[in-house]
Amino acid sequence: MDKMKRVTVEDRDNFVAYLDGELSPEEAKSLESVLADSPVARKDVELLVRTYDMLDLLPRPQATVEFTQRTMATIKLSGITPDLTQTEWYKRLQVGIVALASVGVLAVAGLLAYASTSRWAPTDEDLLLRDLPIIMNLDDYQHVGQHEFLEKLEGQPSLLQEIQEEVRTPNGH
Amino acid sequence: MLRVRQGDEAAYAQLVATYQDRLIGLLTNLVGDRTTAEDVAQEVFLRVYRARQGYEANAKFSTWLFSIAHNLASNTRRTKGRRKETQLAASESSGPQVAPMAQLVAEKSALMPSRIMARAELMEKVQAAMETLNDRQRMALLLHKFEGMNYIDIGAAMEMTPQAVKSLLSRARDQLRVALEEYAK
Repeated sequence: MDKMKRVTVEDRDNFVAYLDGELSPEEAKSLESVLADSPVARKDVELLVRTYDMLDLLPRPQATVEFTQRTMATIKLSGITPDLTQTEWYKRLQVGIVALASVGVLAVAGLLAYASTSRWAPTDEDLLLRDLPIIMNLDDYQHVGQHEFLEKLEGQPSLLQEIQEEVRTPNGH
Repeated sequence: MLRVRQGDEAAYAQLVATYQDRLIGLLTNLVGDRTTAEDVAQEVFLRVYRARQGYEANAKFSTWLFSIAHNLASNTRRTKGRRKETQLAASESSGPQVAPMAQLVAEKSALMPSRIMARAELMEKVQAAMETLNDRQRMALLLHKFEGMNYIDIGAAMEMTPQAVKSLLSRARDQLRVALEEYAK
């Protein structure tokens, strides 16, 4: 009955990691019990081992004798200089430039803000300047008196005419 | 590598000598032939030297080296693939010559000729099976087999999580099992 025990997909996925010693002790123990119960799984694992061992047949040629010399000569000939972008000081410089640029942007923004507020937001002096014509004629305006009086005057044409005639002939009668 | 960072060329020559065979062995099986593998290996060493200032002392040099090798080998294979498409006629004579037969024969001279032949044929089958894998599967498999790297280091070299390496290798090995099952007696 045990021999018929089914091997799950997860078990199969763990076969290689088990062989490579990459499973946790608990996982390995669990898989070992699966292997103990399943001849099919054991055969598969055995085949995995054997086919992996066949990779030993792959060629592993060694470098030619002059490889090191040739490589070093190529390095010298091409005048390879270190990649400056990889250096520590370059990275620091980059950070510095970014910081400097940020400060610059902030300063410009501050200047712009100051200029715009001083240009468009009215100061006390601006208000005084704006009201200057009124201030200069304040006495005249006070003589005119109330608006209501002028409006009433406009509603009595005979009185208005009399006043006008008096203005034309100040010495009267 | 820390000495190399200071511009010590002799130290770099020593590093090249230490890693060249491992790198060429790996690359030969990635790009298909030894000559191309040597060219790619040289380019890998040039790039490493050029980027030496970016080397972090806590990083494993071999992981860094194989990471660059993986990228270059993938590019080379893509370029070769495109070239193959346009040079169909030429490809027959200069196809993948991963199996340097003379070398193999010399190495195994103690064996009987029939066994040498059988071994050579078997090697071709293994190479053919490797060809059915994709670049990443092949690289992960070779790093594991040739370099004995664990899943964490393979992941670092290939910019993958150990979990992703686990499933990549599981699929690769299963594919290999299917392809080579009949020869694995």
